[in-house]
Amino acid sequence: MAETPKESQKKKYSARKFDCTRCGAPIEIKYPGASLAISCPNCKVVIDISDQNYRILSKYFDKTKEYDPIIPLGTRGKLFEKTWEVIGFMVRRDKLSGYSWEEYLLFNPYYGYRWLTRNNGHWSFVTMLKEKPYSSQAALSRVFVNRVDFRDNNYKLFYSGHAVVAYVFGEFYWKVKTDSEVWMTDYVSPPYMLSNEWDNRELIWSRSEYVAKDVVKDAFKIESMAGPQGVAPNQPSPYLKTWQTMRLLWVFFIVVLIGINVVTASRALNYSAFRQMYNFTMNGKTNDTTTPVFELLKDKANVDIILKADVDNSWFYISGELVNEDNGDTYYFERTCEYYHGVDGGESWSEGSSTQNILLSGVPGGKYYINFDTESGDFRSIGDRNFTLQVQRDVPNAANFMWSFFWLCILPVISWLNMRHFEVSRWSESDYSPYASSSS
Amino acid sequence: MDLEAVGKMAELQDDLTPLQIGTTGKYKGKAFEIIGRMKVSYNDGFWNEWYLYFSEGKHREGWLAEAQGFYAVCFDVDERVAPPRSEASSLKPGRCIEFQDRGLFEIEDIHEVKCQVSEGELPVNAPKGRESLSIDLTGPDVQMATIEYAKDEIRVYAGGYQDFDDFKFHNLREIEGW
Repeated sequence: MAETPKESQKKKYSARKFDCTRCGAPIEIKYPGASLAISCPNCKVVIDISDQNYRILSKYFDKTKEYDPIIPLGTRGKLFEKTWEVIGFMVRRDKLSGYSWEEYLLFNPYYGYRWLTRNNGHWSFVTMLKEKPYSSQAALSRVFVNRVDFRDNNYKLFYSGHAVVAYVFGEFYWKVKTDSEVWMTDYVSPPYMLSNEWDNRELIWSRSEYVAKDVVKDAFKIESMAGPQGVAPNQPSPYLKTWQTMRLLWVFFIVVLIGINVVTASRALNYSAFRQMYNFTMNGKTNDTTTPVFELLKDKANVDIILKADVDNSWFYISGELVNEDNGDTYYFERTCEYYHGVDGGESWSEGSSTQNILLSGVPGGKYYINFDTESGDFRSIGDRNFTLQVQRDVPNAANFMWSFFWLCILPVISWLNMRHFEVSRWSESDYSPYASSSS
Repeated sequence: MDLEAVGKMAELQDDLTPLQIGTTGKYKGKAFEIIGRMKVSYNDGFWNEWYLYFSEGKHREGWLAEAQGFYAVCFDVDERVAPPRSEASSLKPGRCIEFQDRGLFEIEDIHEVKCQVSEGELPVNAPKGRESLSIDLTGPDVQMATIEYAKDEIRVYAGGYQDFDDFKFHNLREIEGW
């Protein structure tokens, strides 16, 4: 049995005018049906407009501190698909540090109120919540915790302190008072931040979403706007996406690389094609020794020439060529084996090695022999010594793997460093930084 | 001349609500029409309680509480979930109250309210000037509840918040300039 709407209900909505209780200047309340307090544009006192006598809410006002809103009151703009009008402006500061930020009260008669906050030039769009974030650390929401969950996101404690109203201008839906303070706690999960404000009577949760400066600038048609400084608590990291993608690709390629390595290693013949011991005379030379012909299997594979010389505080030098008997293709190599050791000032030392590896890559299969010359030196002794020349065919090559691994890591490491640097900057403003040791 | 009507007009002069008697909408898919309203005020503000008539469903009558752009629909529930009147004055924000199978609700705020103006059809007699102690609670998953200690009755309502757009309102009041 519903009533039909009456014609009289299509009333016109109009602003209300009155004279400032303190200075007499004319004041116009734009939304008297919604606002409860307004500041006098002339003397800046805040007046209770639900009171018939227009009682003054904040008697004291420090005239030396004036702030100019970047978005003029009365400006309308479209943000998050709705039109909002800026009706109030407030500056709040942290009681302890004195650090201050700006808050713009947005109004739409259908959708209510939102806030735009400006913090070091960073903007956020704030919506009050009726849904409480959840914390596994405490059943009750009035307990101080490090982490809270809200709609699938986990938020980390970033700030807690007393926020004091330093300056108000415009109209507000509650009886705002300068110098009033709340206990405020912020939790971040970029691009969001959850804030909890408590004044012993009321506990309010709100959620901020980071808004790029140009979005605000375009929405409210602001001529010029200074850019943000530093990293905001809820600023999305430009490096995080890159790092996450990079990390996936990295893991993928490492798996591929390991796979390739395992397969090639398992397929490697790794056999000794030739091995022989030769004599050499210390401090002497040999020329043009030729080895017997040996066979290298496989179409193409590496060859590891292993030289093992009997050196002891002496050196042995070899220069040689691996020659393909069929077509004369030649691979030159030379190497010195030297090994020195002793005791110096009570400490024993050693350097060099009596074994050397010379790796030749991509040697075609076929019949081969080696020609070599040697030279050696020892200050203390002369006499005959031995050296062994071994040709190992198709050895598993860790160097390829290591180099590939190294190159594969460069971009991910840079990406991770960028990401981390950004996070460290973000948390440098917080008392609860997980990077506390790296912040000054 | 209807003096009461003139008085009401004065009271509603500053009214800035998009709703009016005759507005229709949906709550969780169920269609309703607004048939009455009480505007209640307290020390630090006011809100509207719109009386709803549902054309379908178990609950035919409900309330739509509208404050600062938040909209919640609630229905009469058994008042026995409320703490007894003797405890009413000792209730504080933060305290939790068990709402049977709806879960644990937490007291958000407590106001001494007075019905400032009323219009249309209402289930309450002589609502204007009616005073009560109103306790707002929130529960899990955007649920809300209100406990009202009036002079000779205790009323309990429970329901949930819903976004403005989800109500799919029709016949809204025109607000000049918007």
